[in-house]
Amino acid sequence: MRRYLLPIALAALAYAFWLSASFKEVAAGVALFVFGMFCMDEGFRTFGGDTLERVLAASTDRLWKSLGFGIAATTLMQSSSLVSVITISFLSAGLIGLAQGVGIIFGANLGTTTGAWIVAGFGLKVNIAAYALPLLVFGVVLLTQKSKSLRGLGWILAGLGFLFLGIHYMKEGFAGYADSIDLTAYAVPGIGGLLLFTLIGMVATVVMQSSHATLVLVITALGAGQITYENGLALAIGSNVGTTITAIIGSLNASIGGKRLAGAHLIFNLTTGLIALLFIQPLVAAVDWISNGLGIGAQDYTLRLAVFHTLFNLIGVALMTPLIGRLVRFLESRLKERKPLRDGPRYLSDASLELPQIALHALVQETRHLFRNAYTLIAHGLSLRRSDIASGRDLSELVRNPGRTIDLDVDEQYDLTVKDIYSANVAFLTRAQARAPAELGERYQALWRANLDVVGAIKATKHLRKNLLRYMRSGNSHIRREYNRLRVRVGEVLRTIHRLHAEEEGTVTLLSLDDVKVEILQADKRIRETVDRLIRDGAITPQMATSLMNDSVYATEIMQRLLAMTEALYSATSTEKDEQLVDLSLRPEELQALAERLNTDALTEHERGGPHEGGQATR
Amino acid sequence: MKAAKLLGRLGGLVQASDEVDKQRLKRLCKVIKELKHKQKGLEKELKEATDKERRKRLKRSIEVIRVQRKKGVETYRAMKQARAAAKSKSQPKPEGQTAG
Repeated sequence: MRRYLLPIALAALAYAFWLSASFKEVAAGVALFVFGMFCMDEGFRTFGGDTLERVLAASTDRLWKSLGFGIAATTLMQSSSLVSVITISFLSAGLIGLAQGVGIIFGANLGTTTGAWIVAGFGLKVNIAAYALPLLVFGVVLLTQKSKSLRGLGWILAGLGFLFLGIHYMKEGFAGYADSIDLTAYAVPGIGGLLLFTLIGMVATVVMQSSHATLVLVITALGAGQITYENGLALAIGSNVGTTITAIIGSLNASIGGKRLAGAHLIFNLTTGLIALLFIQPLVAAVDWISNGLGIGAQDYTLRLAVFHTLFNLIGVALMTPLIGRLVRFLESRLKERKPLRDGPRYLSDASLELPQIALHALVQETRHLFRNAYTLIAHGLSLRRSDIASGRDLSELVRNPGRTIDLDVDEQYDLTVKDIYSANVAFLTRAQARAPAELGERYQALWRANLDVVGAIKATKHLRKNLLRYMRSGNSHIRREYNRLRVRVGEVLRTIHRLHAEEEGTVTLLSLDDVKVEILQADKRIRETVDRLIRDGAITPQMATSLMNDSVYATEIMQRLLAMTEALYSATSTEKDEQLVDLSLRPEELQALAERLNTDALTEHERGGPHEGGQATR
Repeated sequence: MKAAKLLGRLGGLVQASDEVDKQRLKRLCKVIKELKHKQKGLEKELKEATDKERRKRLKRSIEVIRVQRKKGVETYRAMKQARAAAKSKSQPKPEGQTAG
């Protein structure tokens, strides 16, 4: 049935166009208006990213600022849908909390009422097509420019032009109707009319996916005298409620935060719609009183409709704002995030893809999520407890007391806690990078490497674990000691990197990565000397020796991968060069020289004294 | 008037650049001090550590920080000298002063 819906709709439209030229004009006006909104969307997205993030961060730390941001952004962009999408993407990416998101949505509902004022106060009273044409020309000229900002401005101007042109054609279409039929003959008075036209308003908004377009249609129809004032009010109420259906549909693929926000949107609009319907008479009286005070003529129903639209949304904001805290708690208790056995992505959503900077931020958060799960897997793979690693206690002492090995099926845990996140990250990265500007390319590449490195470290852990479990509790003290050393080496690196992720990435903490690099350089040389000595002394069997050599490579690979992941994440997240990090961190030749010096010092110390740990090998 | 305005702007730019260098030096000094504090902490741990492997790790960490600090101090001195040299070049010689 869904397959035939589109052809049927197109056929019905074609027939209606053939029947009525006026209907054709009105429909074309709506199409132009909606297209104008798409163009403006496109334009504002160009200016998104860093600017929006900074503005959002500065403007949503207080409730009144969130409301103000919602009002201002919607007024400027003339699209509450775009503001909703941006808010959901910020919420999904963890940049704002639910309370701030709800504040923005409330503000957006108020901001959207400015559209009615623009159309009623300006659009219907002037020859709007005269303004539309130059805007279109300038817009298209700017669209041909190389500069991203100019192209963005071009989209906005062209969008405004199409918006105005759409209003013009709607006006003309309805004026044409006035010559042939009187739609007010079909007006339904009383409560029946109120409910019917509210329903029509809702359906029209769901079909056109835009409350703005519905409202403009209502205002132009009212201006042409094609609908009664009372029915126009009901249509406005219906469009306000219908817009929440769009938000609900949009939230189906969103994170839990997005769903909760859509829930808040629905509750707000249903509440304001209900209030408006129940108190329609007092509201109309209030509108009359305000309009008279503002000098709006008694017959100027379009401006009075704009006053009505603003008034009932304002009442909604005034009533619901003090209840935001309760609303947030209600939504969090009703819409709970299910904790599945199988972990999946938490920060990625289709909404986040809309803005490249937000997509990047979401991916960074998700890569950190991936690392957290990998950290658990790697730690348990080495039979180290996360609490011991985080504690700062001496790992050498901890591993000396064997304790219990941690039961773990690495493949199963990888499947449950890593694979889905990794797959989602790769898919999301590919999609996000395709839409991102060139200057973000390197950061996306860095995130790609970070994800690969995390998974590479897990694979190396799996290989290391096979012999680790066997030898870390071996009767042969030499092989046991060497395998425990491997555990401590990797454990120390996990500790350093965990600290980096848990705390703020300060310069001094980042500089500690040089310590890890020297350790890796030293260890390579040390293991060869150690294995040589142990074989010569007969302390370990050749089979143990080869296992140790191979597993040392795996241990080194884990450390190198974790180090590379950390550096890649840092390079993906930092927008400014940390000069102190550049000044103080050691270059590769300095690291090599230091590693050699430390090895020489250690060898000299060993030759000077200290007993050899000899003895025959035991299997 | 125009030249004076231009010179004023140029002076402003030079001052701004000088301010950036000054801030950079301050930040570098701060990080070097933080490293010194960290080194002292590790040296204290080294005094108390008995395990051979732990002592090796602590010595390595201390040595890395020592080299980083040395590098930082050299960079700091070089930047200070360069800043002082740039300042003396940009300051005009007082009138009537001749060499020798």
